[in-house]
Amino acid sequence: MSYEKVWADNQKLNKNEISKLKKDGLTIFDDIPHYAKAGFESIPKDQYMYFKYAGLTVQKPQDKGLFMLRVKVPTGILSDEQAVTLAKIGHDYGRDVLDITTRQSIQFHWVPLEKLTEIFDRLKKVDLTTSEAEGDAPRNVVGNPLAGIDPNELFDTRPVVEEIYRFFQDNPDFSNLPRKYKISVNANIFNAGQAEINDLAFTPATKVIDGQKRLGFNVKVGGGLAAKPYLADALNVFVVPDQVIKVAEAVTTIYRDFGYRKSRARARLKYLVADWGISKFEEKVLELTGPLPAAGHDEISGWNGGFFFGAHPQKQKGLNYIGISVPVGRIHSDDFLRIAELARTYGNGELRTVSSQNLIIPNIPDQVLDELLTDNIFKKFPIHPAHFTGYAMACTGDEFCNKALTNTKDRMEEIAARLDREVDLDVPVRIYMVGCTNSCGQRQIADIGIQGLKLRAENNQLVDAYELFVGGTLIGGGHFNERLKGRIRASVISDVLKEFLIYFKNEKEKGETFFEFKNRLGTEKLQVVLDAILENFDN
Amino acid sequence: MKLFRFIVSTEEGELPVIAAAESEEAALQVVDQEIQHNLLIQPKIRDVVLIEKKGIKKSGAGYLIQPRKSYE
Ligand code: SF4
Repeated sequence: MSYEKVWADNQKLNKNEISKLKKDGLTIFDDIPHYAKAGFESIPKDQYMYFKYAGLTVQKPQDKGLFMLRVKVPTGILSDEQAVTLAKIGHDYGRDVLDITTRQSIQFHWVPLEKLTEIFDRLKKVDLTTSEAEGDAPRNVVGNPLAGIDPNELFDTRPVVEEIYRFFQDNPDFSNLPRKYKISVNANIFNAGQAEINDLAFTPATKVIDGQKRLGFNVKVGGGLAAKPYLADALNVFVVPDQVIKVAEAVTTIYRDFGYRKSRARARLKYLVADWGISKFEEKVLELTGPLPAAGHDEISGWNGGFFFGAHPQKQKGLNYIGISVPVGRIHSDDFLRIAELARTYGNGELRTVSSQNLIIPNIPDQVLDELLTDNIFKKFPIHPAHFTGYAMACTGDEFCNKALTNTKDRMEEIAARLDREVDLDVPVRIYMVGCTNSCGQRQIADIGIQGLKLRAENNQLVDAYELFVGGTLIGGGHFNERLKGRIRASVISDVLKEFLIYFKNEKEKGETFFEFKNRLGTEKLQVVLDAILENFDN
Repeated sequence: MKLFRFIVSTEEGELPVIAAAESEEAALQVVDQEIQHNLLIQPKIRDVVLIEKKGIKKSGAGYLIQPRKSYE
């Protein structure tokens, strides 16, 4: 460790901070083999927090010795051997299920404690890691899943992501941050890196310097969803690719040394940026980096929501990528393995994970593209999914999450399937479901967000119910969706959504998106529409 | 023991109610008791919803009660 923990003498540190001063999170990897031998009961409860640094969460019910395990996939790029390893881990240790997360990682459930070291060994052999996939440390670096092959990218961001990932990964200088810390690096002009919801985001920009047009990044800081969402603010700096690491180190150092450690609820970077104001934050960054040019021309020209369905030409002539729909991000290990095999047979073996919880197979030559698409796997995981199923997302929900009040993944799949059968639209509508007030399913930026709660029924029992939020986006710097009044029981949620979307279908203009429609009509009007619909149901 | 955050909707507006209990069902009973005990005139209740729950650690647990913003 080559830095001084300037907060160490602070009298008002929270309990986790005091523990982290005594023992660094990354040391959990030394402890796990001992716990694995001695059994789950041997783990003191106050050590559970350290498991996060190994990408592990004790799974509910908490006494069974099972874990959720998350593997980082920087910018979503998996080699053939990495993809195959993940499929086999799912098969051998995770009851055949893989979840693709909204940060392009892969999650497994039901992983037994005694198998963890075997899994770590397998991952290490293919240069994958669970380390710092959770915990108060730099999380998976997200970015453009098409990096290097994207006709809509300013330049290839793979070297920058690699540099950032290697710099921060298991770096003891940055393994004790106040809270989780999310970095995005993207040069796709449709904001594939979802910059505004990250702590630190590099976005595509250009600037004329010394008469020469330079390609690089503008920078945003302090974004994040969670229960108190905040959209990232822009620093007035322009960064060329080989200076990115300097800026990332500066921002992260400021967060490490000045981020709040008294209350975990106030520990994310967004609180520091809000308190200091963006100008003071920028001054501090420049103190560490030295002078940087003012922000360049913002090259973002829209937002694709992180969706890449269909077969499309790459920037490399004669090669294509296909975007595959994985409903709510959940896939059986055999199916994942099959897709990995197809990637090897028809492409170069690479597979890519997308923040919309889907997959991409890149590098398919023109002459074999049609043949590839005849494979039966694409009946189950289509490249042109039905609108609702393809554009639905869901968080983990009450199956595994202790905070969840309702089911999410199964319910979202059911609702989307019904809407696909019964509502035919000319545009997709992004519906994201979460099981509580948090935001693991990015509810706040959905066209229609569905948030779970429990409603008291006539028999005094609590039943699953949902609230709707309308009009979220990251277009134009972002806007969070707005809550409509009315709690909707699980038993009628798909009926209500169907009626709501039929109203959208009947009243919308041709090609009008749900976000445009909501802005044209206003939230109040949509409230009136929902009220009228709810009157017709026994809700 | 867990901490539960409820919203009770009445004709006059929303009442936030926090309950500490072992289960969601027990927490709901606490909500009823608190409403009956604290309000001289019983409000016409439209619905009662549980919107958040969290474990109570040794160091405690709490919720800040403030009107929900449009995106919350
Ligand atoms: S949004 Fe809530 S319910 Fe869903 S996974 Fe996150 S914490 Fe759990």
